[in-house]
Amino acid sequence: MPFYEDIKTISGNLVVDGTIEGKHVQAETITANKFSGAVEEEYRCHAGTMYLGSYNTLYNVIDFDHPATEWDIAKGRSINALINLSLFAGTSSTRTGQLTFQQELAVPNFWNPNVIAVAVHDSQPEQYWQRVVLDGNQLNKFPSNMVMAHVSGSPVYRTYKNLRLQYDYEGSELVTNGSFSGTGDWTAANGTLTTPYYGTLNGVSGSTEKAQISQAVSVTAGKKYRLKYDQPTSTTYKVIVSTSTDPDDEIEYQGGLGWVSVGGTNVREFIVDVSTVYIIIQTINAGADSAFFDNVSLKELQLKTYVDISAYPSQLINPSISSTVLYSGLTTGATAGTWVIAKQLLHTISNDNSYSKYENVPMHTYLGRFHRDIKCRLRAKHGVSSISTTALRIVNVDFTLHSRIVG
Amino acid sequence: MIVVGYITLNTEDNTETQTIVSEHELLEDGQNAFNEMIAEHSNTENVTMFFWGSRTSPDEYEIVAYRDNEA
Repeated sequence: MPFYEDIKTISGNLVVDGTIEGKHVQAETITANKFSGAVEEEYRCHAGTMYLGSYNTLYNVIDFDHPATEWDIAKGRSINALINLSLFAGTSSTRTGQLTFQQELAVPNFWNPNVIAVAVHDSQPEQYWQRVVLDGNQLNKFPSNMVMAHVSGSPVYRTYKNLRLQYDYEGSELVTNGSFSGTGDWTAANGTLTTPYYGTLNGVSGSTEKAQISQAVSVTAGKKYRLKYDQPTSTTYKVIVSTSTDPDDEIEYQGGLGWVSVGGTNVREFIVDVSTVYIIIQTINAGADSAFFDNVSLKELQLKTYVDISAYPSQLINPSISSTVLYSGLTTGATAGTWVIAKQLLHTISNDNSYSKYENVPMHTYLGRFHRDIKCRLRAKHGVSSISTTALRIVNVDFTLHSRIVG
Repeated sequence: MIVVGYITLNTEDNTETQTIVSEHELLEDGQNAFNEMIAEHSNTENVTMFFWGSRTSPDEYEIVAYRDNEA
C-alpha cells in the first residue's frame, strides 16, 4: 500500500447517484458558487401605492408566495420589507398615532414541523419562563414566532424570547490533579516535582536539559479547548501543548513558541487535530532552574444555544425528564387557512406639525429553516385620529424573499 | 395554553374588544374549539375576526394567528 498518492483529478463530469461522504474536507477547498443548486436564493416582491383609509382597520398591502427552495433543500427563510409611507395631514396641527404592520403566512393544509435540536432544561430565569439549552449553534432554526415540543404525545406550541448563542461554554475538567494536591498524575523528567503550596519543579544542577512535567489528556480532533494555568510567584515558566512528551512535538496551533507564563491566571485557547495532547510544564532554563505553578485546567469549549420558552401553565420540558426534541413552531398549531402573525411591527408616525411627512420602515421576519413554498401577506392598520381616508398612504413596499443555506 | 376567541368592532368609534371563548391545554381540543367558535359566531354582529392565542401568564396572552370573519 503506498504511503502517499497523488491527488486524483476528474476532468469530465462526475455523476453521483447518492451521497458524497468525506472524512476530511480541507478548509477553503469547496467554493459555494460551484454548486449548481444555489446556496442563496433571493426573489423580489413589490407593492404599489395604497391608502390606509379607515382608522383601526386591517388592510392587505399585498398577498405573495415565498417560493420553495431549489431542489427542496432546507434553507433559512426570511422576508425583508422596506415600507415607504407618507402622511398628508393637510394641517400643521399635530397628527400622530400608531401604525401596525403584520407579516403573516397562511397555515398550509399539511405541515411537517422542522426539527431544531434536542433541548435540555437549564433553569427558570423568571416566573413563567423556562431556560433551555441546545448543543451547537441552532440560532437559524428558530422562526420569529414560536417553538413546539411534544408533551405526553401531544404537540405544545409556545412563544420564546432571549434566543442567543454562547461560543465558549466550558465542558468538564480534563486535567487530573491540576491543583497539585500531590504529585500524582504528572510525570516528571529532568527534575523533581514537589507540592509544598503549589506545584514546584526543580531542575537538576549541571543538566543540559530543561526540567518538565507532563500529563496526557484525551481530546477530540477539531474541537476547541481552553487551557488555564496560574503563575503564583514572579518566576515564569513555559507551557507547551504537545502531541507527545517531547516539547518539540508541540501542536501546530502554538506556532513553535510555547507559552511563557505571566503572573496570575493565564488563559489560552486552541484547536486540536489529534486525539491526545500532552500538557507540558517546563522550566525556562536548563540546569537548576525552578518553576512554580498551580491550577492547570483544560476544558473543551462548546457552542451552546440558549432560549427562554414560555412556561405557562407548566414548563415545556419537564426538568425531571430533562430533555426533549424542540421543533419550529412557525404555524402556531392553528388549523389550515388561519393566518399566522409571524412578525408584528408597531411604529409611531407623526406629521411633526408639517402638512406632509415621509418615512421608511424596515421590517425583517425570519421564518426558520425549511424548503417548501408558503403563502404570505403583509397587512397594516393605523391609529391616527382626525385624518382623512386619503391622508395615510403606503407609497410602496419593496420585499426581498430570502432563502439561504444555514447551519 | 391555547386561547381561542373573537374580536368585535364598535362601529361608532372603531374600537375593538377581544372576547375569550375558551382555553385549552391540548392542541386538538383548541383546534376543535376554534372551528366550533367560527361556526357559532360567524353571524354574530360586528365580529370581525377569530383569534388563536397563546397564554403566557394568568393575566396575559398573545394573539399568534387569526382568521377574518368571512361571513
